[in-house]
Amino acid sequence: MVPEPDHSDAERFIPLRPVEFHVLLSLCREDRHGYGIMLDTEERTDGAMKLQIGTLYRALQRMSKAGLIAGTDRRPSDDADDDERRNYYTATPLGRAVAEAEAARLDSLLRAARAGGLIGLPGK
Amino acid sequence: MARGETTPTSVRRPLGTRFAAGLYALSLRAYPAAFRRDVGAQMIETFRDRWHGAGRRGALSPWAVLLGGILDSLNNGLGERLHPGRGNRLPSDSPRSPRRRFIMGSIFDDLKRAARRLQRAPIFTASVVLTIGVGVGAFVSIYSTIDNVLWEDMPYEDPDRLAYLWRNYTWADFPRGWAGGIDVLAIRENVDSIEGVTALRNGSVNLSSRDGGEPQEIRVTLTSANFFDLLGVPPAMGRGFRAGEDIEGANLVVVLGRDLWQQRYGADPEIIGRAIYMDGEAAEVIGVLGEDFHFTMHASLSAPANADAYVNMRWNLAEVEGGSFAALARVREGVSAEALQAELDAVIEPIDREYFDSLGLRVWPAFMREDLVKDVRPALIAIGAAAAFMLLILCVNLATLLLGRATRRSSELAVSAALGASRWALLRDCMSESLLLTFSGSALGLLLARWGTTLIADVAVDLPRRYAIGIDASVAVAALVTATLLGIAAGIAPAWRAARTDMARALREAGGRATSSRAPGAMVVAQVAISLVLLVGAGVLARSFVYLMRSDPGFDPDGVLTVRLPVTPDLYPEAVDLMNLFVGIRDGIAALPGVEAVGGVNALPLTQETAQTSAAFPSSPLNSGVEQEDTLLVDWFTVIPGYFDAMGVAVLAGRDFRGADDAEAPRVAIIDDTLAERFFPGQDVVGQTMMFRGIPHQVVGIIDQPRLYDIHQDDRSQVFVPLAQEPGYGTSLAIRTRRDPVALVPEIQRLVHGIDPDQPLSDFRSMRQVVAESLNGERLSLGLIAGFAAGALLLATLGLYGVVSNAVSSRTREMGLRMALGADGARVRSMVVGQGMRLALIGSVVGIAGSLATARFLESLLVGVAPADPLTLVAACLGMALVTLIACYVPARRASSVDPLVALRRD
Repeated sequence: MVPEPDHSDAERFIPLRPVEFHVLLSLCREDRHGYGIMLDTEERTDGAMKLQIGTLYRALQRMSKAGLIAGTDRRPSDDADDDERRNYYTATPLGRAVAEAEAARLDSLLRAARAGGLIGLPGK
Repeated sequence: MARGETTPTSVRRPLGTRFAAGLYALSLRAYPAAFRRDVGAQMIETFRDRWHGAGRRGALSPWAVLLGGILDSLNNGLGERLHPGRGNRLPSDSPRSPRRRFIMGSIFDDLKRAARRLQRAPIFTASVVLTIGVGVGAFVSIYSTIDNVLWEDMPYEDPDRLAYLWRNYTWADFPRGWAGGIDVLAIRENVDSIEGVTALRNGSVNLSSRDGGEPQEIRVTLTSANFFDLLGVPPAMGRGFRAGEDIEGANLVVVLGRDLWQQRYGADPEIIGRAIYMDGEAAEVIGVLGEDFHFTMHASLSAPANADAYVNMRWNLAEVEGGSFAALARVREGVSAEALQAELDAVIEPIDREYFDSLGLRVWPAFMREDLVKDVRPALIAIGAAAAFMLLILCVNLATLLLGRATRRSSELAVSAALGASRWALLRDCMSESLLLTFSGSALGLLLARWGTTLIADVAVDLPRRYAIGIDASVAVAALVTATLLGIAAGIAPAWRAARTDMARALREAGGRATSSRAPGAMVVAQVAISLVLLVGAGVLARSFVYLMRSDPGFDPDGVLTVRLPVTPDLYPEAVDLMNLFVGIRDGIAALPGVEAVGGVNALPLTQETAQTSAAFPSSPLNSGVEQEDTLLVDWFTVIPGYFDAMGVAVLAGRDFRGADDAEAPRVAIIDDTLAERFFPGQDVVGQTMMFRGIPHQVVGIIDQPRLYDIHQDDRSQVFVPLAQEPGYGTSLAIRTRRDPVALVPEIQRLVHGIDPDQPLSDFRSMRQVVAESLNGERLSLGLIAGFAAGALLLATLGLYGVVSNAVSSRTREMGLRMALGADGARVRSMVVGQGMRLALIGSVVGIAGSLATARFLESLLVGVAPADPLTLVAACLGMALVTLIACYVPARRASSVDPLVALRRD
């Protein structure tokens, strides 16, 4: 079984690359296949972040090996065009912890930037 | 309507998807094998998802996805190979050292750099992009046309099982005759291999102004009730014919074609159930055909024809024993040709016995697709081959251009390599340049192809299935793949060389000394040879065309206006009234100023539109006594006197028809010279009796045969009889005038409508136009092939010029030395020219051999000239020699004007 992650374990992966962070964001909410991750990321960023297939799969490989994500047999029930051939990915507890740690890091950076007057109000 | 939505895109997309996915899968080779094993299949699956997703956004987005996908594979694949397990960092991630940046910069940076480099070499860039553009454009236009016309599915259910059944009168050497009604019935009832058979016949009717439109003649096809079921294409609105509507005494019903419905009835949605009047008879509109309904009825001897509307055939087929119909059959699935023929033989044998004294009547199937395209196939194949030849030269030129570029860049690359750039970096550098060129060229090419296919569809009016012409996705993909591979290959070669050569040598060479290489010479030889083949091809086609233009068609087309005058039979039931109408119109037109002669005929020359019957001369010295051997199948015509004068047909002996040859007078006929020669060689035929349609006719005149089918020859003899003795309703007038024929049109319209306001007039054409249109197909083939030949010659000239001038500039030092040692300019010039001419000579010899080898492909397209015409060969060689001379002389002059001192000092 995957051991319960502790804080220091997650710190090893910080900072994450943007691709990896986006993959984790997509997979924390539900299990998805590759194209699903691409669509979700594009939608979440209003099209600003368009993942290339190669970039995505290299990241998926890397993250699988690092134990941040794993392939899964479970299928989300609401996926209309569910397909036997597709490989779905899920975020491991470690992956979730890493994503949270990265978010916290980014958040503190962002607060620092606002405090320094570099950027304006939140939300943009 | 559902059909309309499903046809082109959904049929093609899977093919496009397969191609694209295959190409993408190929690009995954950039990744290490282990990576591909792990996630390759998933990546392809994801690519398909993206492809389909993009397809919903527009026609071009999938291709952008493909392009992006391939670039992404190159980028990430190379990255994964260099640094397994690491990802590309986005540029903002972390600063990179210059060296790291050189190796790892994303491919988009590479592309940007390549674009800047190319901007600095505008002539090179423009010539490569144009060359690729023209090549891809020509390839996609020509092969899309060929693909669509020859192979693309016809818009019927399972079209490969549709066949026409023709009668073969084996004893009369007439293999393609209409089927008889009795044949259709016998086949319908007794041939198991055939699911259904429908009888078809083309005709024309006049629509009366009672439906609110102008009086108008339209073409109709009369069909059995099962016609639309047989094709598997029901009308878009209303219904098709029902069983029982195709018998004697049934009410006339009509299914309107899309164009007629839109143009005459303003696309009236309420038209179903309304009556329109065809030749005075009320016909209920029961259906309207869909936009994508295309049907061309094949014919026994004349050209295939389309119809504006379809009406039910109300004939008792059992009573029609003679050939009268096109019989269209759907063959059952899995039936072999032999089994089908055997069954047909068995069914036709009793008919042969009963009606033809067992002379050997047979019925045979001609499958629809092959039948329709068989006439244009040789031309299309020749055009396709010409295009392929030109493309070959184009590729050679492209390779020369890119290699030249690579040579010029070799020192720059060698420096990069010496400074530590890896092979991958060099490769990416070169590749990004050639891919950029290839993609821009291909984009231009696709644009050109869009125009090209439209142009072909507009110009090639004689091409069957013209409606299907458009860019074909699979052809476009094939062209793009070829162009991309070419680009990749052109990029790999210089990078490879740069990574391997030692720098010192490369830098030295860049200084301008020649590397001895046979490659450019071989390319010139290939180009000259290929252009010569094309030149000879275009030359013989041009000679054949000139022959056709000059051949005597048996009439004088200059100053002749023609117009169709279809008369509604119900309005003129009596032959006398009909003749009065015609004579009234003729005399009225004859009285117009500038008109020299007027007459009429049921079928104008070169229109292929008349009927056949048999003729015999009981008093011929050549008769054998066997009836079938002594009768001849002839084309026959009905004439309003004055026609031969108006058409400029020479009366060789005897007299023309005159007004007195009417229904009360003895039957008379005029025959052409070929018929006279066949039965009375060298003798006077005037006054002889001819058995014609079972009635004795006296031959009163012999004319020079006006061609009905091809301008240069007709296989069948012709017989003319006065319309007054054989009344018919469809006729065309021929008017010879001293004025511009077109200026007469309004006067004729006024005059005819003054006599009968409801009388349609159609097809005003000058005879010159008729002649020109009969040569449309030839003109198109000639134009395209000549265009390719000209393009090839131009490319070959440029190639030759490039090679010779490269050789000259790399030997500047040597030239200077020679001249310093006393050689004069003329000597240097002749040396350079001689070198180029030697290459051209070898090329010409190869080219002549090639022309002789390919000659037979052109044979079926040529008239009056042999495919290996010696005159054309010599002319092409001379032309080639002249062009090579010019291409060599220009650099030679430059070489001889070199100042020896400058040349020697240069390094």
